[in-house]
Amino acid sequence: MRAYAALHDQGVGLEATITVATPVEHRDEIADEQLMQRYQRGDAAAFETLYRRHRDPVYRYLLRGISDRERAQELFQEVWASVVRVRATWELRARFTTWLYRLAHNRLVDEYRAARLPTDTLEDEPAVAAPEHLQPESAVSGQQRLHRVLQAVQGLPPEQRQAFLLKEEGGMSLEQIGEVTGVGRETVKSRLRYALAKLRLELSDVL
Amino acid sequence: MSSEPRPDDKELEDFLAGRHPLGRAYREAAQHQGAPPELDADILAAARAEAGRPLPRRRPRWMQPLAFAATLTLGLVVLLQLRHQGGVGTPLEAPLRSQALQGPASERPIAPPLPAPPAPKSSPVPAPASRDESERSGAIPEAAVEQAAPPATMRSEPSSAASAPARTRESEAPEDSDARDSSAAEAVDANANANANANANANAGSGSGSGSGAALKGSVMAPPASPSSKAERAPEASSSSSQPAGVSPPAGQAERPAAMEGSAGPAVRKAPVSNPAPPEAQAMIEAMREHLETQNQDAALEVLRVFRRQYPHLSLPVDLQELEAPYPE
Repeated sequence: MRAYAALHDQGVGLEATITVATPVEHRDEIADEQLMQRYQRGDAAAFETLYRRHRDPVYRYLLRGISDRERAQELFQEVWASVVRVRATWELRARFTTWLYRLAHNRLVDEYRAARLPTDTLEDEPAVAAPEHLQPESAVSGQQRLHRVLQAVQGLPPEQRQAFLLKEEGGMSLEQIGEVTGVGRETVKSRLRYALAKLRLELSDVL
Repeated sequence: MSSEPRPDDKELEDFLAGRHPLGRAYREAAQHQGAPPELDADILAAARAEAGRPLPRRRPRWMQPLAFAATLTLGLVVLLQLRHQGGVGTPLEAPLRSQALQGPASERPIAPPLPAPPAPKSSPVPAPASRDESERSGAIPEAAVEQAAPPATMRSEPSSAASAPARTRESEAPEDSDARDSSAAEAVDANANANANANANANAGSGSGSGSGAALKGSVMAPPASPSSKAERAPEASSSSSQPAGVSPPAGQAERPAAMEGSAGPAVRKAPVSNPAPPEAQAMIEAMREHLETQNQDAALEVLRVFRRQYPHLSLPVDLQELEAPYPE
């Protein structure tokens, strides 16, 4: 983030520096934008660093978005292929993360439009634990708890789920989430509030 | 209206700050899920292949508007140049252009006021007092032709534009009296030179018709001519100062020789440079009249053909103009 601010100070055309405490913060590392610029100049190692940094969050965002592992892998490849393809024309206009997740978001929207809405559960996930009051045992194991959390997130409406995932996986602010999803800041806030309320209600027995 | 945030706002703030238990639980649950390693190879290979390719040279952003502006400017310059040379301009530009072509104002002799002084009685052709008068009389001094703006038709414009280079040559050409082989042009040029060197008030004592105000004006407007320009002006001279009575151009065609300079093209420039011999022209006209009186139209046409070959600028008298109608150009 500091390197990002340094880029901004150099007058490279960034609109604003948004400081958000994120789990994907890379302190004392080269900023994403600098890595992308290096890759533009032909540095393949810079791309690899960029890829290693973002591959898992992007994959999880896609996987939680469509609930289809194979399709998520295809979309994942498409997103990174787009990054590679636009190497020559990429310009430093916004944060790299925002741009990357917008690519992923657009592919999810295309999937939704093609009526491939998430209807089935992930294949290799264990069965969802029933609510606490329906379970014979009062204690829920730690593994089940984690699966319950994932399942609850999976059960959110797509807009709320995307807002939640963009915050958790992309480490974005309200404004950045709005930029990626194409809505205003207040709409993002509202979606996140609803998502948190639903998750809290759903996971009240495990949290 | 308390400043304390509502419960959901507090929850949202905690979530955005990464302190919410839901966020922690999600990160704990999802941290073990990652992209399959088998995808990495393809993506990284594609990235390396792309990195090996040279970046296509990109045009700077300012290149396109600059190119547009340059094209526009160039087009305007070409258009203006064409207007300047090709005769798309307005008739009002012609006098300005002729003045501009004759050099800076400081180099030009000061022209006397336009109203011409009364011509001396000894003058064979009275100098017209104004352009209107000269048009009515049909006799157009060269100076008047030069000074007059061309008629407001598109056709007249090429003539002034085409004569402009010739005038430029005139202004640049040194006085070369040896080169003057045309007597009519010589007379005009001699008067012009004499008047240019003389004081403007000395025109009363010149004793010649071309020493009048109009001729003086001609000396101002027409510097010493080159042979080519003399070739153009020879018929003008014959049609104005020493024009025979029967060859006077009809009204409305008074400016025709000057106006035809450009449109007549090379044929006009090839007009006989040596003696225009107006008496000969007069003799031909008389011969044509005689042939017509004797109903010998073929002979009249033959004379007309010869006449036209020698005097392409001279207009026929009104009674002979019907002869020219079927004349093959």
